[in-house]
Amino acid sequence: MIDLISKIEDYLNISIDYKKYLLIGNAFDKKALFLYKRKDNHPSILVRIPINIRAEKLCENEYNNLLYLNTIKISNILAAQPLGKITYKGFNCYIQKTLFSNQMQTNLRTILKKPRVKDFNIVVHFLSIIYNKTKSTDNLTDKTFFNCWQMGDCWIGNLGLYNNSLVLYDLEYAVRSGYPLYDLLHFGLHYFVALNNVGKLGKSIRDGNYTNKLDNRIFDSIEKMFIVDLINGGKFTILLKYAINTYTTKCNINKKDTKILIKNYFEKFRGIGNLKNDWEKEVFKKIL
Amino acid sequence: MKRMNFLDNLQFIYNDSQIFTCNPNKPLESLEKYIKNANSFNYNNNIIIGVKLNIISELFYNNRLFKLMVSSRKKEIIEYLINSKFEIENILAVYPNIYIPRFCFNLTDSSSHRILINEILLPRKYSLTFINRILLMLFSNIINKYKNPDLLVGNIFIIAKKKK
Repeated sequence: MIDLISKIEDYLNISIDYKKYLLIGNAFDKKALFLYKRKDNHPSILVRIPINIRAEKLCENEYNNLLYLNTIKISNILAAQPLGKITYKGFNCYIQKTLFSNQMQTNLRTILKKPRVKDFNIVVHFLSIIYNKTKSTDNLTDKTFFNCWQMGDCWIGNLGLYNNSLVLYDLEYAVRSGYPLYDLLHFGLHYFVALNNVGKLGKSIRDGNYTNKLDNRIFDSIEKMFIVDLINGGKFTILLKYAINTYTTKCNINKKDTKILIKNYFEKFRGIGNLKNDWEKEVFKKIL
Repeated sequence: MKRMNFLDNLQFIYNDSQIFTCNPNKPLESLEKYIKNANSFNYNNNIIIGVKLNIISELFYNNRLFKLMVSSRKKEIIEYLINSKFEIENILAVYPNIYIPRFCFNLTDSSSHRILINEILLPRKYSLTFINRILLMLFSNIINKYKNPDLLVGNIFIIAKKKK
């Protein structure tokens, strides 16, 4: 690893403290390496290190989206500044500046297990700003919405707040020509998943024998429960109804197109809409 | 003692070194066996030993008042290695445990330790059970106030090299 740090040092023309680093590994075949400039007590450089082609593509996509966001500069939206890429062991490694913030997931209600209205308000506000800034009006259609920049993995764990700005992390799945409302629906869906995973990890970590097999958190099947929760008028229904209405009003998207976007998000994008026939009619009744 | 393929974070730090790990429940006995095997493998003259520490004993050991009453496993293994003609190259702290070292940093690097606890683990505390959440918050408080938080590390890898 010393050779990698030395390469980065040369590339950025800075002096790095070789004794200080934090290596985080194995999340979807990528490693993240925090590095410190000499005499600094705070890491200022983050390197994304892929270990296979698939991971490299994701890192590349994130890097390009960081470049995009840092070029167009949306007010009150922050993303890490990309610093360059270097080749290491046959793969490109992507260097960015570190960007710390108050992560939104810190405030998840672990006792009540209920979503916070404030979190949805914040996300609706900033996502509507992103839509209005990045919507592409080139291809005019009969729809009231346009393609726009879409974060892709907009869940509470990838969002932070810093000086009245929203900080976006993990842009590996971001797309320049995405759809409005998808990020908001994704936020709601994964907020639901996170709340359903409260208190699932414990004993194995304390005993020091944690493995992936002992991880009790559930993701895929809980995603499907989200639609059932909406149909049954669960705790997310009113909040999501309010969030969707506020977002579509701010983005000037009519009800007919909102229905199309919701149906496409759950069926095409997430592939979880086909629980039963006409699920969408029941969901629309509750959240529109 | 066995070779573990999933320790690739360590391999990454040590340039694809062949890594042997050993979690000695009876430290010195199993270490002896381990060192013999590592020697016969003769790779780089490096050996890497994963050690699970008891944080409470380590904390007490570092307090002058308790030093005579408790033993430090870390100290014990380091002394054994030095007596076996090894020199300690580095000590890495790892989380969550020595079998899956997902987070690695130098044991003396208190900045990374704080970043890991405060910026990475603490925000994700929601997924922990109530008791673990409280423990992590307590841990975070101590780590922010304590000058040498390396005393709070429960899992380490000792990297040693045979003296020439």
